[in-house]
Amino acid sequence: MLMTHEPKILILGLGNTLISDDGIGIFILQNLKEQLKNPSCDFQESSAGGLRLLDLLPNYEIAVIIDSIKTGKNPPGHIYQFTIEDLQSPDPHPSLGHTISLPTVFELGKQLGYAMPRKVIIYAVEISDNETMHEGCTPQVAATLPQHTKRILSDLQRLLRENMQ
Amino acid sequence: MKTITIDPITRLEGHGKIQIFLNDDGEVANSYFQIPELRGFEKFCEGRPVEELAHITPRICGVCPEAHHIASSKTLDAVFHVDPPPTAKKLRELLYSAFYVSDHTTHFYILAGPDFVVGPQAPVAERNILGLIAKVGVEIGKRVIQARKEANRVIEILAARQCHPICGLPGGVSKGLNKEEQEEIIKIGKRSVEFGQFSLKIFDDIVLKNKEYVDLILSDSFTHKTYYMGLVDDQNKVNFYDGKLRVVDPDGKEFAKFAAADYLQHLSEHVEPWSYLKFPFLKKVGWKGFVDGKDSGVYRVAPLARLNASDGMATPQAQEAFEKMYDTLGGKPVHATLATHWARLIELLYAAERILELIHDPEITSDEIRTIPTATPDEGIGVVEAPRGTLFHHYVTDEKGFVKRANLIVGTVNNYAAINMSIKKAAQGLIKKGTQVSEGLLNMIEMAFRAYDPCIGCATHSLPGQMPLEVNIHNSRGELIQVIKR
Repeated sequence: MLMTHEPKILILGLGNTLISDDGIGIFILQNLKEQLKNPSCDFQESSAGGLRLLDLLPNYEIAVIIDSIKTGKNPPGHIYQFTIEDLQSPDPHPSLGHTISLPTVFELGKQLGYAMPRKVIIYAVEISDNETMHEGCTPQVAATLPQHTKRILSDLQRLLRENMQ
Repeated sequence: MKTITIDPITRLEGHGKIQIFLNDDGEVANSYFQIPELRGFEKFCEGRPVEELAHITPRICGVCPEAHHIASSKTLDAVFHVDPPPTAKKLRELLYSAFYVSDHTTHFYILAGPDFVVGPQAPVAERNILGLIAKVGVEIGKRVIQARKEANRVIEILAARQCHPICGLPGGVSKGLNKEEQEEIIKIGKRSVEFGQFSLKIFDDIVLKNKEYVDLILSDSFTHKTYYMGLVDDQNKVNFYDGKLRVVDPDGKEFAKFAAADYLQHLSEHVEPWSYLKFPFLKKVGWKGFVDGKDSGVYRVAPLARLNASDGMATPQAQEAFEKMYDTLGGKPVHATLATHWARLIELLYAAERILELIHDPEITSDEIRTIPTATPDEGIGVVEAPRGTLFHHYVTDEKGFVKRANLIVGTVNNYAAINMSIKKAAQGLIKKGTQVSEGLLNMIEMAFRAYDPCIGCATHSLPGQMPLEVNIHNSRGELIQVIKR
C-alpha cells in the first residue's frame, strides 16, 4: 500500500542491559535513536515481554523489533531478520516464564480488534550469555554493535523512503 | 536402584527442566524440577550506592518489577532508619495494589485459565489465551486486556513510568498525586472492583459448577499438608505491603509471627547437589526432606498460603469471597494446591477494593510524601508479599551507604521445595507402569506447579520470549527414555 502521509513506525528494542548480552537489542536501539531523527519514528525500549508489549504496539503501521536470540546455530554476534510468521506459530501453553510469545501477542491483538502494525520486521542478534548480571555485552557480541546499527539504520532509511512515495 | 547424579542447571541455557526417574516397575521413583539461576547478583551490587538497588532489582526481571521496587524502597527506609510519611506509604500501597490487579489478571487468564476454560487435556495448540478467547468470546477477552491496561495506567501515574517504576526513595516517594489523577484512579478503581467480581463469577461458572474440576482440585495428587506463611496486618488480615509474617501449621494453628527483620531466626536454607537454588525451610521445625506434614519444615507462600495464614481479608467483598471459599472447601486451612487459583481471584478483588479505599483516603493527595533521611546507613531488611509469595530484600552498607552485601529471597524460591513435591506427587499419580507420557498427561503434571505461578523470568528475555520447558524421563538405570520439549 502506498502511503500519502508519513508512516508511524515503532522501533522497539527488547532486552535487559543489566544481564550481559541480553541488552544488545537496547544498545542497538540507543545508537539508532542518536543517528535517526525522523518525526515518523518512535523509539521505545522495554525489558518486559509478552502482554506488556500489547500496550505498546497498537496504532503503529510498522513495527521494527530488535531483540536477542540464543539458538547456538551461529556464532555470537550473528544477526537474523525475521517476519512474525518466521517465528513459531502461536504458543503451545506457556509453561514457564509468565509470558507469551511475540506471535501470540500479534494474534491476540488482531483477535481483539486492535490496530496492529501491518508490517513487522524483527532483528535478532545471536548471543552467548544472558544469565550473568553484568552491564554490557560479552566482547564478541559487543564488537558487532556498530555493524548491526549501520545495517538496521540503512534498512530503516530505505523503509522510510519506500513508504513516503 | 542405581544412584544417579544430577547436575545443577547451568548447562541448560535458560531451560526449565523436569527430570523424572522411574523405578524397576516403571513407576515414578523421584522427580526434580530444575530452574536456572541468575548469576552474579551479589557481585553486581557490591560497591554501588545503596539507593541504586531500588532501580537495579526491578530490572532483574520483566515480570514483577513493581514487587522488587516496593520491597527495595522499604529496605532502603530500614537501611537509612527513616519512616516515610503516611501519604508516601499509602501511595506505595496504591501502586502495589494496582500491580496486583494487573499481575493476578495476567496469571489467571493467560496462564491458568486455559487449563480450566479450554480444558486440562485439550490439544496444546488450543490450550492458550487464544483458545480461551475462542471459547469465552472476544468481548470478555477485551475486558481482560482492558482491566490490565487500566491497572497499568495507575502504575504509570504513580511510578513515573510504566515498566520499572522509579518513584520509591528512602523515606518516601518522589511523586505525589493531584486531584485530576485522583479522579482518574477512582474511575479505574471502580471498574477494577467490578472486574474482580466478574472474574470470581467466571471461576464459579466454569470451574466450581464442573464436578470434574472440583474433584481434580480436591484430589490427593494435588494436595500437600504443609505450613503456610504470609504478611498480615494487626488484625491478622492479609496485607501485601506491610505487617508481620505469620506462619500457621498444617492444622491452621499459628506457629510463628515475626517482623521481617527477624527472618533469619525463623527461616533457613537447605542445599541440594542438583540445584544452585536453595530450599528455604522453617528453622524451628527443621529440614526433613521433600515431605509434607507437621514435622517437616517445608512451608508454602503465595495466594492460598496467604489466605491460610490469615484470619481474613481487610475489605468487605473480598472477605465474603474468602468465607465462601473456605465454606465450600471444608474450612481452613485448604491444602489443595489448585485452590490457589481461587485464592488468587479473591486477592484480585481485595487489591481492587484496596485501590478504592486508598484513593478515597483524605491524605492521598497530600504533598507530604518524603521524610529526608539523616541517620547513617548500615543494614536493612524489607519485605512485601509479591504475587508469587513473600519477597525479602536484605542490604548491608558501609557508613557512606555503599553496598557491602545484598541478598534477596524471592517468592518462587520460598515455594521451591513445595513445587518439587507437587510435581513428584502429580507424576506419581499419573505415570504408571507402561505409560507413554502424552502432552495431556504432561500438562496435568505441569498444572501442579503452574498453580504456584513460578516466576523464573530473569533470563527469559531473548526470543522467542518464553522459557522453554524440557521433561526428561529416565528408566531405573538412569537411561533417558523419553524427552518432551515445549
